[in-house]
This record gives sequence, C-alpha cells and structure tokens, in this order.
Amino acid sequence: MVAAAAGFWVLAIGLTLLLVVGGVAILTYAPDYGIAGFFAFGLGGALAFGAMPRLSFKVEESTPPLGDDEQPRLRSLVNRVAERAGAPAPEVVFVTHDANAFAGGVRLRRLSRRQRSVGIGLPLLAVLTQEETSAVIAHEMGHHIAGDVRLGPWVHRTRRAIARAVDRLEGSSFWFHLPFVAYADFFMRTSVKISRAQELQADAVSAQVAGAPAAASALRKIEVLSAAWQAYFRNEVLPMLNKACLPPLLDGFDRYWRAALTPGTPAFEALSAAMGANHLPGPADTHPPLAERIAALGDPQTAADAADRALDLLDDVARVEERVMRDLLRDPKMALKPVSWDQISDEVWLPAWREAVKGHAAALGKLTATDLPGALERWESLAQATRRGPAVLSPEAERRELSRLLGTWLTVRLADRGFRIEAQPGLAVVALREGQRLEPYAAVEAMLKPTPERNREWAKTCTELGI
Amino acid sequence: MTPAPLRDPTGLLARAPELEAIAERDAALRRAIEQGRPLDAYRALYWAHRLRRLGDLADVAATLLARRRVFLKGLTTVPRMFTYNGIGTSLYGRSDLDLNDGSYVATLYLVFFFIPIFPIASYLVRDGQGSGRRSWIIMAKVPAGTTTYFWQRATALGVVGLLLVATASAIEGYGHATVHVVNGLDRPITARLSGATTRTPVAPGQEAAIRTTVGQHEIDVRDGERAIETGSVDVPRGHGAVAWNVLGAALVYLDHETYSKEGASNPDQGLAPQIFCGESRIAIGDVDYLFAVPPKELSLPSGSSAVVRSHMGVAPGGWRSCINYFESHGDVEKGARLTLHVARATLATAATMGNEIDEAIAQLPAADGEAFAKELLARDDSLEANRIYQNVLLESHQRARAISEYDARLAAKPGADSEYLALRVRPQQEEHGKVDEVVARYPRHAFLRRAQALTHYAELELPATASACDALKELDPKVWLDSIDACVDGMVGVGRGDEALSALAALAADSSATTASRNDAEVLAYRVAHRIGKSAPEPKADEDDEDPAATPLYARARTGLPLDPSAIEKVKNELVRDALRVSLDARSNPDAALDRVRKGDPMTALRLPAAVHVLLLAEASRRDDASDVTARLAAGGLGKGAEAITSFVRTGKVTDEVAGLPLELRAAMELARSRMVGLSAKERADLIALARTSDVLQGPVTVAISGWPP
Repeated sequence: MVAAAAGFWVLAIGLTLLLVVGGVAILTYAPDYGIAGFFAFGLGGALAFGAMPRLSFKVEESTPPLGDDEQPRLRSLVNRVAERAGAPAPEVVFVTHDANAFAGGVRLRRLSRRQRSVGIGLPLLAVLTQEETSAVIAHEMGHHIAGDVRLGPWVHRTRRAIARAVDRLEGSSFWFHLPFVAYADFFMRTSVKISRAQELQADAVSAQVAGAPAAASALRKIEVLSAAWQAYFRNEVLPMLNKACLPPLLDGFDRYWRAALTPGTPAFEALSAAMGANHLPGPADTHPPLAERIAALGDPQTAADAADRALDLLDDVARVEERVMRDLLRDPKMALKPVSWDQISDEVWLPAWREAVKGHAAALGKLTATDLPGALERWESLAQATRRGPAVLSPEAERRELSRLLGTWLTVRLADRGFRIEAQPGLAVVALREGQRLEPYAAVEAMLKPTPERNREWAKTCTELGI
Repeated sequence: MTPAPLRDPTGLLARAPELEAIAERDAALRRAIEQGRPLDAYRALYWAHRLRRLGDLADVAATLLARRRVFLKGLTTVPRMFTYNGIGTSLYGRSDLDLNDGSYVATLYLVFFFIPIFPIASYLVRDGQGSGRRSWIIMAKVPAGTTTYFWQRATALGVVGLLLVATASAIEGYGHATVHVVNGLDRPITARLSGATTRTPVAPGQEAAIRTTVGQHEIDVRDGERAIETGSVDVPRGHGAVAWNVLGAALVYLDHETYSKEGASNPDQGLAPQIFCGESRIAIGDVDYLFAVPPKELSLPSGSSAVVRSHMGVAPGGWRSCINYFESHGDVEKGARLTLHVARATLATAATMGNEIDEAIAQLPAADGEAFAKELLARDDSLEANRIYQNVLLESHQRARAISEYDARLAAKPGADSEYLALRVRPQQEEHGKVDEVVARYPRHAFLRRAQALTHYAELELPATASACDALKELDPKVWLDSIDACVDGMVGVGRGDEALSALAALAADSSATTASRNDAEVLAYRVAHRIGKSAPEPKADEDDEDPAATPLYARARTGLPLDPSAIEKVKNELVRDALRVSLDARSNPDAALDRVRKGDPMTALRLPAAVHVLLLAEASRRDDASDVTARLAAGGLGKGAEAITSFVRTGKVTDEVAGLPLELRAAMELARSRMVGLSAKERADLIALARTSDVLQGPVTVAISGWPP
C-alpha cells in the first residue's frame, strides 16, 4: 500500500522531471530542436502545476469529540470493548450524524500528537442493540490493532492528491491526465483490495469480542440503515437545517423508516434503489459486499433483539441530536428554530414554496391547473422563463426541473384553495380537503408522459377539485 | 447481467439524466461519469456518437453534444489571463449564447500578437460589469467545441511529435557529435574516423561533416590511396565545435557578427577574428553558425539593442590564403613551412608548385631549404626543380658547389638543359659572357633564351633584352610571360612601347590567364601607356572587391601619377591607406615618408609598391638616424634581397642579388646611393643618370629624382 501510494508521487515528480530533464537534454544535445526544449519546459511546468499538491495551512476540521465527562456509559462500553479486544482504550470518542462508525487518529491541536479515536453514528445507536454496538466498536478497535489507522490518513491524502491531479488535468490537450487516470485505477484496485481484507480482519475481531451473531446482525442492520439514513438525511434533514430549523432527528427517521417499509412511497423507492446499488459492489468500494462479510463470519443466525437498546447508553438524546446537527453547520452556534415533523409543512415547506412561486410570478401568473399538461408539452419557453442562473441542464433535466416547479405551483394553488398540505418524511406531498386527496408532485410528474386519456382525466380532476 | 447503478460524484446525471441510458452502451462514458470527469464524459459521448455506436440514442446524444455547458466542471482555480505586447493568453469567441442570462462559451487561447495560436480551454462566461478594460465572469470550464478540439489536438500532436523527434535527436546527440573535415588543398581527399566503415570525400576548398560517436578517435586522411595525414581527435559530448583542418592548410576562422536594431549584420568590432592556420585539430566552444552562412538579419530578443553571434567558416583560396595570412602578419617562415608541408603531403612537383616552393624555401634556413629541394629533386628532375635547388645553393652562398655539381651534370648528361643549368649558376658577369654562345648552339631552348634576356637586362642592354624576349615569346609564351617585366622594359627601352602595350592589352583580355596575371598585365599596360603618352583605362577593382577605391590609387602610385590625398582617405583598409600616404610622401618628402613608416603599423611596408619600398629602404640605409626604419622596411617581405640593397647603397657593390633585381628597383637603389655623403658630384650625377635610364617606365623613382630635395 505504501509503495502504491508512493508510486503516485514517483509518477508525478518523475513525469515532471522527465520533461524538464528532456528539455535540458534537447537544448544541450539537439540544439537544432531548441524550440522543442522550451515546449518541454512549458509542459513540465503545466504538469507540475496540475499534478503537484498545494500546500495547505488549514486546520483539519472535525466534529468535536465528546468531553471527558460526557456520555459516561457510552465511554464505559467503548473502554470495555477495547479491553476485550486487547487494544488500549481510545483517547477520543465521537458521536456523529452519520450512519457509520470509524476508527482513526485525530490531531486536536495543530502539531499535537494524533490520538486514537473511535466514532459512532447516532443512527447506529438508535437502531442497534448494545451487543451489536459492541460488535461495531470492536470492529473499529480491530482497525487500531491491525495498524490500519496509521496508514489511513496517508492513503486518504494520496487518494485526494490523485483525485485532484485527475480533476485538474482532465481534458488536458497533451493527454497528461491519462497516466494519472490509469494510476488512479491501479491505486484504487490495489487499495480497495487491501481495504477489503482489512475490513474482514476487523470483522473477525468484532466476532471474537461480541460474538459472530451480534457482528453479523450489526452488519445486516447497518447495510439497510445506512442506505435509508443517507436518503433521509439528504432529503429531509438537510433542507430543514438550510432553513435554520431544528427537527427531531431520530423521530423523523422513525417516520421515514416506516415510510420506507411501505411500498409505493418515495422512501421505499429510494431505499430499493439504494439497496440495489449496494448489492452490487462498485470498484471503489472499500468494504466487501455484505454477503461476503456474513459468509466470512460463518453465516451465523441473527441474534434475537435484546431489550438493551444502545440508545439507552446516551444521556439526553435530544441534546445529542441537536449537537450532531449543529456540527454540520458553518456556525454551530447559529439560532435554530425547533420544528416538529407534524408542523413541518405549514411552518417550513409552504412558506418556502410560496416564495418560490412568487419568484416566478411573471411566468406562472396566468397559469391555471388545467393548463399544466399543455405547459409541460411546451416546456422550453416556460423553462426559459423560469430559469434561474445559466442554462446548464439537458432538455430532460429541464423538463424534470420544470415539473418540480409546477408541482410546487400546484401545491401552493391547492393550499390556496383550502387544501391541507402534508409533507411527512419519506412520504409524498399530499393535499387533503374534505375527503379529497391529491399528490400534486406525482400528478405533475405523470404529465411528463402525456396521453389524451390522462389529460382528460386531469381536466376532470381539476373540475372536481375546483382548481 | 444488470449493470450496477451509476455513481455520479459531480452531479452530471442530475444535469443530464439522458446520459444514464447512453452510458449503458458506452463504457468510456460510464467510466468518465463515475470518476467525476464531465469533460471526458463529453468527449466520450462525442466519439460514441461520431462512431455511430449509440443506435436509437444518437439524436439524444446529438442534442446533448450541442449543449456543451451541460458538461460543465467547477473551477478549482481561475484561469490566468495576461498579455504583454500582445503575447500571453486571452479569451476569444462567443458561442452557445444564452439570451436569458447572457452567458456564453468562450475559449482561452495562447496568443501571439493577439493572434490565437493554441486553444487552452473553453469556459462558460458572462460579460463583466467593469468599465474600461473588458472583463468576464468565468463560471465554469466546459468541453471544447469540435473545431477547437481538433485544433488543440492537432497542435498538441505536432508538439508531441516534435518532442519525440527532438528527444530522439537528443539521445542521438548525447552519444554522437560532428567532426568537420576541412580541405584546403587543391585536390580532393577522403577522411575516415575510427569506427566508420566508409570514407568521406571532401572536395578542394570544401568542408564535410562526419557524424561519429563521442570520445577519442583516430582520423585518417588520404589522397586517393595514399595517406597524407593521421592523428587523434577528441570528440566531446554536447556543445562545441570540432574540426579537422587537413594539414592545417585551410584558413579556418572564427569571427563574430553583431546584429543590431538597424538590421544589418556587421563583423563585431570588439572581438578580433580567430584564425586557425597551420592547426589541424580545432576544438572550440559553442559556435552559432558552424560552417554555415550566418543570416543577414536576426530578430533581437526583447530588450536587446544588439546581439553577437559567432561564425566559423573557411576562407576561399585554399592553403594559399593561409600563406597570405602568415605573410601579412609577418610570419613568413610559418607560411613557408606550411607551403612545404602541403607540397610534401601532396607530392607536388616543380611544375605544379614551383613558384610557391621557390618562395617558401627562400624564407627558411638554408639547411631546411636544401633538404626540401633535394627531396623535390628526388622525385622531379625537371628544370624547375633544379632551378629551385640551385637557388637554395646560391642563396646560401654555395655557388662554387653549385658550379661543380652542375658542371659534373653537364659532363655526364650533355645537352641544352644541362648547358642551361650549368650556365645559370655562374656569376652574372660570367654568364653574360657565355650566354650568347650557348644560345647560338641551342637557339630553340626557351630557358636559355630567357637566361639570355635576363642576363642582358641585368646589364641594362635593352635592345639585346628585347631581341631575346622576341625569340622567347615565339618559343614559349608561358616562359615569356614569366619574364614579362624585363621584356616590357626592354621593348619600351628600344621604342617599341606600342607593341608592348598591345601585347599587354591582349594578355589582360585573355580569359584563359589567371586573374592575378590579368590584373598585373592591366597595371603594367597602364604604366606603359603613360610612359609613351598614350591613354589607357584606369585599372578597376574586381566586382567583389571590398575596397574598390584602393585599386586605381594603387595603380597610380605604382605608375608615379599624382595622388589625390582626399581619395586616399576614402580607402577602407588601414594598411593600404597608410601605404598610399607613404607613397605620396615619398614623391617629394623622404623625411616625412620615413617618419610615417617609423610611426605606422609595421605591416605597412608589405603594402607599399615595390619601387617605393626599395626607394625608402635604400634611403633609410643611407642615413645614420634611420636604423629603426631600415629594420622595419627590411623585414617587409624583401627577404635576403634587403641585405644586398643596404650593402649596395652603402658601398656601391653590385652583387648578383642586386644585378638580378628589376631595373626599376635598381633605379631606386641608385638614386639613394647618389645621396650618400662622400660621393663626388660626378659620381652623383652618374648615378642619377643611371637611375633615370634604369627606371625605364619612369615611375615613382623618376618622380623622386626630380621631387626630392638634394
């Protein structure tokens, strides 16, 4: 791994030197081609500019760790697991917003020693039992024991440097990016293979400490949880934070999770797609597929859910929720308005949607609900009229964008006509009024594939709803 | 097998969902999307569409390709735009304009005098709000359009190709270097460096380049199958000129040209040319134009008002240019040794290099000259070779030995040649007494006829000289030509000036004669014409003469005609100009002339007309206070004759060297002798009368007779 990482620097510096030395050699030994020597210098400079890393004096930004007196029960569990695994207790413990856990070395102050750390995501604590949590922590301690953590930052920096070189040299007239793309492939294949082996080794430590059933159970849960949490956090939580609102994090996920188990809901569709993607290993996946990991553990039966939820290890869960969300903010101390998920539609979404529609009043002012199919058929002019910023979307993306805008417009129109709007996590936006029900976004999206029959039905719906 | 869902780290699929279906058919597109390379994704889509790999999705692809901005890539750094005197980078173009927000695609070019040379990258931009200079808001990088792309790639391919060729050349250049073989001889040679399988021919007066490996090499130069020179040459790696000047014969020079803003190139005034005469191995540092003609003009680097470039070349004229160079720099012995070196290496005979060998031997110590003359005789028993050998003996005061050896030869090999050679080594008086009798026996022998003409000429018997010359001309015009000065004096002396003039005119117009012969004939005709009161065209410089003003002035100086001082000042060559000034002074003011010689360049004496030179040497010899000038003039190319001249002026003794001089020079000596302190009035008058008679063509000596103060 070290050799593979060093190879990138050898490649970058070697190619640059090759061009510079080549330029000198041409000027010295082939002066008739002196101009080529200067080209070589120029290209060497361009390559160095593109491939070499930039010095950065930024302090590493990281989530603040738990204080020494915070969450003593969680710390106690971590220390016990470390002891059982035969590793020194981590010096730093993190609780994060992510549905993941990690081991690392963190430098809390500039130039200070890296300290052994373990991090665990709040969503895991919400879903896993204490035994399963022990398995997860033991897995991370396994990384410490194997020394993966020492190498990790280096590999990470090399990956970043390769990615940056490929990014900066992309489309290079002189095909400079090709060796780096090829090396990135090679490095990824090499590092992924090693990373996957390290994961299996850490799984073995996990099984040794917490038992194979608990380890397997944790892996299975995390697999599903991770996919659902990502979608939930991205689609439901982040927009709230962007609007300076503070929703109840785990309550929202509970609602989202229930929606994800209900066929036909957006959450269900998102989870199905994500699970499908996770089922097939990508070339860049640093973790082996779940099936392989379970098989490596001896394919144990799933342990029965015990009553001791991991979340019970935390004192003041609501405070931890707020803390992990604030960690994401540029200014963690900014004022956030607490909002319950039941109030979310009236308090957050509808005002935002009204604002968005108001911003397009000139284009949408004369629009009626019955016009929607026609408007989507003549989407170009409306898309142009409602576009904000430069036109950087393909026709299909523009249509979808317009469809979303029109869905928003329809939602506002329905709200104005006395409909109550519901926008619960993982569920479609619904407009309700005295037994009448309409999913405005779904209705407009359906118009992207218009048929005469659908159009007639829509006209009838409009009449029935009085919009 | 269902392909794994696409990863989309840069959000490209969100901007163009159509790509998802296309990516299922094109692996390169898929890879680029998944690796977050939108510009490469565009290019992959371009080629997939162009190569018709997309089937029913071709129209979708075409639509996407028409919207380059969809494939935008965020900026990590703002592109640098700068121009200095029109050179730098600048944005050009306005395509894919969005009327809605005024954004469009422009391309950043490398520009040269504001002309786009190389497209660097395309960007999505909007015009800036700033006033004054044009400004842009650069939003993102986008793929280059088709024309730009191919322009970019073609240029890049060209540069890469050039780099490959240059690299190959550098690799070759690392292990190899060029040795330039210069042939200053009159005949073609071949050269071979150790390790080479073939020999490289080098034509006379030319240079040939031999590419070889770096390191120590043996060089072998041949004339046909005969080796004429071998040596070792160290061929250095990298820069530096290495030349092999065969026998050191060619005049190889290193000079410097100054290119100034005025455009013309001039030989640099600050650096004297470096001459490599007599050196076979020439190794020097960097030379800008190595045996190549330097350009007339050069573009100067910005900020420079002038640049100097070095140039190594070969002077025309072959080995003779080196001899001239040595002589003009007062190093006649070196020139003589080089002449003999060339003659020995090329197995020259008296017929091919007789005059040069004769002159060279005269400049060398007697032993060296005799050794070479014997070497020459061993392979060439011609009259000319014998004459050279005889000259060596006579110059080294071995007349008795010469008489003995050639009397023995006459006894052993009787005949006209032996008679001639035996006669030739006798003292002037003795030769004069016998020559007519021998000629009577061998009237058809050209050299005997010439001896007859010259012997009578030395005795100031001009009718006999003219008569012998007539017979000689009939027998062998070439030998007559060798004696033309004496023959013309003879003819003018007996009143046949018109006849001499027409003969000289014919010779000057003879295209088969050498340029030097024609020029000499032209000047001589000019002198004769003025002597007999006829008009004659003033000698003109050759077309390629760099100093055309000098030629007619020089002819006038030799003829004794008035010289215009202002015209003299227009002569470019400093030595010639000074020689003409001395010639002018020498007409009426010997003190000034001698003073000018004293204070001038020591080389000035070499450029003086012969009569002026001898006149001043003789006058300086006479004076007690002019030993320095005497030494200068004596060293000026007169050889051992200077000693005889000095002796005659001081003692009146007529040696064979004095008797053998042209009458004009003898007239100069006689004039100077007439001014010696201690002579009676009659002796002075006799000497002046003799000088008047001797100066048949009435040149500078006759002018001095009447012009010099008593």
